[in-house]
Amino acid sequence: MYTRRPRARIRREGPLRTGRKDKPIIQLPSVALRAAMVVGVTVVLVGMILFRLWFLQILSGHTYVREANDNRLRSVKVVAPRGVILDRNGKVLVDNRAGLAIGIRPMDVPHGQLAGVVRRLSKVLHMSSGEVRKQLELHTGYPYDLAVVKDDVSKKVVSYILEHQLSFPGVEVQQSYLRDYPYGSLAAHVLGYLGEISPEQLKLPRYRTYAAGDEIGVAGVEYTYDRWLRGRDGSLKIQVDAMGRPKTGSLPIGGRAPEPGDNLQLTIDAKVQHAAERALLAGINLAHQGGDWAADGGAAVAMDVHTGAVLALASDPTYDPAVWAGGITNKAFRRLQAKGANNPLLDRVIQEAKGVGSTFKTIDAVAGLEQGVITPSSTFYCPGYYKNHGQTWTCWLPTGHGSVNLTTALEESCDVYFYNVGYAFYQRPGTELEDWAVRLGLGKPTGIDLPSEYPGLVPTPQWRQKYFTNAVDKLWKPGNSINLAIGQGDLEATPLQMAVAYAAVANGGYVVTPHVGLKIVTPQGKLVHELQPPQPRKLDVSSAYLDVVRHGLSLAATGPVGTSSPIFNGYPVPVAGKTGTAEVAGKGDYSWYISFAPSDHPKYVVAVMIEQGGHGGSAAAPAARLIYDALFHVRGGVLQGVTRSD
Amino acid sequence: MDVRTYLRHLDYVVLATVLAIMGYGIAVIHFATRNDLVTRYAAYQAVYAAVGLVALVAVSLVDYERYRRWQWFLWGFAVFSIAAVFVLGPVTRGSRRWIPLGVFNFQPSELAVWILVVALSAFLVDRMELLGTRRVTLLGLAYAVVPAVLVFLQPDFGTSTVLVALTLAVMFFYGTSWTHFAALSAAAAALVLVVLKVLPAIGLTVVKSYQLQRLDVFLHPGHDPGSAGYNVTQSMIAVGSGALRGRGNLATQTTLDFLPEHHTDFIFAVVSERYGFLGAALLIALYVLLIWRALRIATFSRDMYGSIMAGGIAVVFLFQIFVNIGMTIGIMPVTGIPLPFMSYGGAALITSLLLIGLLESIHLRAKLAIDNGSLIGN
Repeated sequence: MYTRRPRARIRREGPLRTGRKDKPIIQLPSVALRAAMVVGVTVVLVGMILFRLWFLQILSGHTYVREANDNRLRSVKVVAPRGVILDRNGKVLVDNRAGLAIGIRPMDVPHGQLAGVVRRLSKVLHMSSGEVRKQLELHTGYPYDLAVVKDDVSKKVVSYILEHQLSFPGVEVQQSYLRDYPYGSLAAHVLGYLGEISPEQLKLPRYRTYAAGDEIGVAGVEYTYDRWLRGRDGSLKIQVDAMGRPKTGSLPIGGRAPEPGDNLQLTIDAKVQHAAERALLAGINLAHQGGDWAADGGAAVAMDVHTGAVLALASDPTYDPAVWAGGITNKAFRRLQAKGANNPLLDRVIQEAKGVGSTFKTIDAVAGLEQGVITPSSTFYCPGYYKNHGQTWTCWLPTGHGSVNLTTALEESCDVYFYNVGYAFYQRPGTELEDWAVRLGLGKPTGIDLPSEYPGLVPTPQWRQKYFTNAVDKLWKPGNSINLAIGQGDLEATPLQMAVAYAAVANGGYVVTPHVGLKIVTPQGKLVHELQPPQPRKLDVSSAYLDVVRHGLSLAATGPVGTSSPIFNGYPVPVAGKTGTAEVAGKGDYSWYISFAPSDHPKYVVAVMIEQGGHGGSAAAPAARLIYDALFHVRGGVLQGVTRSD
Repeated sequence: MDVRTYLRHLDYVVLATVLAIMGYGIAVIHFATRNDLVTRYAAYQAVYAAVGLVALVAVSLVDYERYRRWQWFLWGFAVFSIAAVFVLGPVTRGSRRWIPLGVFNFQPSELAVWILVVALSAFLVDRMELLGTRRVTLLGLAYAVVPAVLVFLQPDFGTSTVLVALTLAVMFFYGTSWTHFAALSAAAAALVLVVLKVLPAIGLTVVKSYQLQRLDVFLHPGHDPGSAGYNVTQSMIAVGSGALRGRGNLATQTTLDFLPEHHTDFIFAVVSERYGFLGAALLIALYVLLIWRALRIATFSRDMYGSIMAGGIAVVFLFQIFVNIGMTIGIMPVTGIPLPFMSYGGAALITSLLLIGLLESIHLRAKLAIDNGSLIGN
């Protein structure tokens, strides 16, 4: 209505006067109304803005402050140095050293240049382009995170990259911790190595507190005691800009200092360990000299008979765990897996179970005495062979041992004596001999604190029934018992299991749990945790019978016709031990020697096995003597194998 | 008119308000860009402000009555220069907006805002006798639509909406009837529908995809904070984290570049983060003061021409302020409309100061008219 009325006057372009003479402000009524409406709209719009600001800033301000802080603060992992591994005397077996890692920060690589950077980097790092790309793909974080392509890069390569930074946009050098092995390959199978955690492992309950990219123990005590060794990674809160780049000149804000891992002290004695590894090589060498050219590997373990503490655990061939530091290269891994390498990663002390030959006779003796199958004075006549059910088994001495009792049977390792014992058990109900083998620690893991222990096998009628399909094979025949009695047939035991069994004989009937972990200490050396193995299991055995068996074993090592007498007769420390020559299908005989010393008051058990080493006395027993040299600080004499025994 | 008369009749409230906002703006620009690679934005802005103030004085000295005579020349210059951009302007970020003139870059679309205020008002005032007829409404629209469409095609969506708002404001203060406004609103709605739905359906794209994307982000905030919604999300975090008193030098959204365009389109977020609700409210109060003053000048003018222009200027500022702040706080879609006197940018700042010069001119002429008795006033 105001639009029309003033039209006639405005057309004259004359100004309008308000009707109010007392306040003669010149106003155009139509304009005044419309201006008032704009004022109204302004009030509404400004009200909306203020209401919204009040809502955002006053009501939700704290939420947005948090979001702003989430934006600007980024947590960066600070790797905790892993605990050091020491031997029982405090010698450092595994240490840490600083290394340099090369990585790519994808965000900083200019568009379209990634392929070129990958190509140049692969050349410098001696990797294939595919390997570099795989590392980039494995890295699933943000583009502003550093994707580590290769750890432990040499200073030469690092300085080359830094000097040619223009050819490597987005490539960065990062500090890292790497495992260092002052003694090289010493005790490699005990120590184990590290690897990056896999996506599958991350799902396991064991790795609940781990994160992708973490290094974990993959083998050895690095695996078993990982949770103590790893420590706790710290974090650093740094301020970053919108591109995720750390703000230059800004100090880290907060965060958590890394807690270094605790140190692990082992029961291993570096000196004994070193001796055991050299002993294996010497044993193999002796086997070669004795004509067993195929000898190519072995296992040795030295253990405290009372506690099960392992002083040396050696497996040959071995490897240098340092190849894993910073990630093993494909080439190095292929070399370890190569056929000619003879499986150096296999820990033959706990992961290889074979027939144990005559060393099993000690178990026959214990079982026979305890079950009343024989008495200490029982004698059998050995004509050099044994006939049963139309089959003939020969004794290793074709001329025969004549009439033998238990101690001479052990001393001379008379097969016929134990064929008789085995057959006697066959005729009895149940599985008494097999049960004794199991009681002494065979057929199941010993429980050593190392991963992937092989349980071995003590064959029983039930096992045959289950394992075989053929009706004839399913049947337990006299031959099965007779073969078992001399540690052949289907029996499989690891050197460590035999060591545990002999330790029980030596210590008066206690089955110990072997272990290599002694205690966990802080980096400052304060005790955190004493690694206590389970209490030894007491066997219900008569000490008188064990005396007899020990006497037999003592004769075997030192008696006039003992199978290892040429090696241990006259040795400063009285040794008791049994040789063994195990037949392995398709291979040369495995040379075994399981022993303990001093024979009167046993302290240590030493078990040695030389693959394809021939007779027990020709390779394994001499090797064992080298280990005793270290255990008892004996100056070794001339080492010679015996070919005469089994 | 001697200097003393001139100085006596200036509207110092407007001037002081504008100077205060500009000072605020330069301080905020300095803060926002002091860690950037280029840190001289504040200094440049001060130079633009000085140039703009000279232009302000020059415009205020001119009796706006002259523009009525130059109306067609001004209109022709605006249309021609905008058209020339299509030929002479280099493409930056997908659009042609300015003409390089050696010393400086000339941005015709910004100047077109000032020209359209002057020329459209003159065009309508010349046809005062047609007020209320459908003819003048359509003629006025046609007069404004030519530069607006050209600017839209540059493409400069933000400025073209300013031109549309300005056209409606001028016609509003001219006195266009309510029925015509209703029809215009319906037509505008229909146009939006055609541009956004019908034309794409028949294969014609008038609106750039990034513009549609911004609209989508506005309608579904937080939908895709990674790319298109990133600006708005970061802006709201900046505003919200300012809380009551602001974060001062800890305004990390700004200093760490999380806030995009922190010295230009999103400068209000910087103000809000650094100075909090109090600082933002202070700025809004200054704007309210400016708009109130412009409306006061509109109601207190020598003639209808001055009133229409002043009213148009008030609405142009109100529109820019609301759309820009609304975008920053997530209640309006993202458009490239700067915050008057605050956002960094010479063309927009100088144009805004030219509009203030016009306001001062209108105020000055009204005062002079009272002085010589042709108008009764206080």
